[in-house]
Amino acid sequence: MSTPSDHPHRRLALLLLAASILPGCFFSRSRTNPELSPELASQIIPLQSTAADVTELLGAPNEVVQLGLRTAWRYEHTVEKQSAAFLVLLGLRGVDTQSDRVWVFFDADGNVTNIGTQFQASEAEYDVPIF
Amino acid sequence: MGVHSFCSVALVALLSSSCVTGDYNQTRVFQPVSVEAVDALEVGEAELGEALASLGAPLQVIELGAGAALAWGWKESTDWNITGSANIGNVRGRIQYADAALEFPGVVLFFDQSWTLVAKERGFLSELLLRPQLPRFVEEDGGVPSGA
Repeated sequence: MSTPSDHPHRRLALLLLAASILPGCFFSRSRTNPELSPELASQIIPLQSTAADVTELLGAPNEVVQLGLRTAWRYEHTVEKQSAAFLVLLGLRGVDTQSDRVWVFFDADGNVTNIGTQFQASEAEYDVPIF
Repeated sequence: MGVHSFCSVALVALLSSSCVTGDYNQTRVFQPVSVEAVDALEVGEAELGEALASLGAPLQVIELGAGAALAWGWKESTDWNITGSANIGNVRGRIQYADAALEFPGVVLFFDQSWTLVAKERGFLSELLLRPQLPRFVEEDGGVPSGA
């Protein structure tokens, strides 16, 4: 009776075969824009803060929407976590994208009238699906 | 041929052909807003501040006539992508099937120029936000609303 060690070529072939069918996986995380601080956002007070105050606290916005003479500024920080497993002929991939987002609304004079916030970027998860 | 040999040959044949491959994808983009919170916003009464406080920051803000539309969107989906290929003589064939959900469901709240809620709709954002908008003069902000 022979063993794999008796045949170097056969042993190499078995190793290559085993390597090819072993599951592979990867994890990745991408971030867009700097993180947003709830503490800084909470310092923006409607009817008190101005556009200059907002710029000083949060910097330049990612988007400015013109609403007639009024404006709305968007700040957004996004985290995307991706994970995948490769099982030879089948790939399993999970992508989770979450964001911190702040919208600040101004009147025609540049005074803050409203602010909307959400902070969910830290809730992005690595999750390989199992069906 | 023994069972082990047969399995080895079958596995090698399967790997070398690679005629069918599949991907199973799970996608989550943002998080859905509370249905109860949306229902609690009364058309004709709710103000912008109340909407922002209960639903958080919207995904999009769009100028719409003298008012604005605010959209909250999210996506939770799973989809399959199956690709098959074969060589027949000198001809190589390939077929692919995908059932990926491309739509982005969400909620859109419509506000007038005084930031009072005038309508709310649920559906796919691509359908809710692709509405024709008429041009208008911004000088009319303080006067009679016009446009779309």
